[in-house]
Amino acid sequence: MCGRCVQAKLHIVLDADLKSAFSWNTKQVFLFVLAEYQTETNQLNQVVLWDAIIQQQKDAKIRKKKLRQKYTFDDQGRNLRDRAFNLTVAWNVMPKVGRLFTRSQTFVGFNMPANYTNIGRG
Amino acid sequence: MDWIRDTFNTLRAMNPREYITQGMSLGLIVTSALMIWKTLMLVTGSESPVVVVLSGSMEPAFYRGDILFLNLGKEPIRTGEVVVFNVDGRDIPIVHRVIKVHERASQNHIDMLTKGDNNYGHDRVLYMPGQDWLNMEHIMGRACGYVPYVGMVTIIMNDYPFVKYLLIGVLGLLVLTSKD
Repeated sequence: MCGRCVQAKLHIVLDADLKSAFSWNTKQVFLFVLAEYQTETNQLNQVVLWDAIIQQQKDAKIRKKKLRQKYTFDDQGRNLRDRAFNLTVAWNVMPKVGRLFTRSQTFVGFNMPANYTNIGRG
Repeated sequence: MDWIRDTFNTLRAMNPREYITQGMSLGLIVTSALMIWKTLMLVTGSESPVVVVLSGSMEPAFYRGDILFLNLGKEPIRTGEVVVFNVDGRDIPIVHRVIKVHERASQNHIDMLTKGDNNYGHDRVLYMPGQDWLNMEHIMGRACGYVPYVGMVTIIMNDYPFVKYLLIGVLGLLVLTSKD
């Protein structure tokens, strides 16, 4: 859909313990990692890169040496080069019955490389 | 079958004045329900504050027949939120999660992309041909509350209309013959 856009691939290490997010009324926790950045045209861009459904408290300790990006990190234009961005880990707690809520933690101060990398035709 | 005869006798014994009274209490019930619904619309800002989940695309969080309480609110939509949206040219609202947000610096314009937690790919294939993004006018509300199973009643009533008419008939009769 985007012929003239740029795309980024990140190497993310994720170490999270969401055991405390579980209570008797928790059906599942939807964990996701997103990138946030600002461009000249857009005051906010949010792109989810990876997500996972955690159904049991015993599986709530996540250790990933290299997160396999599930969704493409693409811009609406070509504004990713040399771009500052933040990464946020968020978890949406989904109940057996009742209210849904989301908690998150943001890590600031990342920067895209100043030069494009050629990864072949892909 | 005694209750049928009882009901019939009660109806026969009533005079016109009583019919009018009972008819009015029936009307009161209907209008109260309408008032509650409209008040909910006003408070939540959503055109449909309660929706029934119709597909399995958000399993295992939401199953067909579960109900969701929606709130639209003033804050802009962010990724990770579960929203209910209408796609141009389709009547059935869809419950999915927002995975991309692009918010313009000028004017109040937000481009969004959604995906069902249980689906393999994102929703661009569900949108109208040529439509790449959802905007605020497509959003009916964001899911803020959840109750399982309850919506199965409406699904059954939609699939088998005679159940609906039977239920309305019995309820109407009960109201007409109730003594207060």
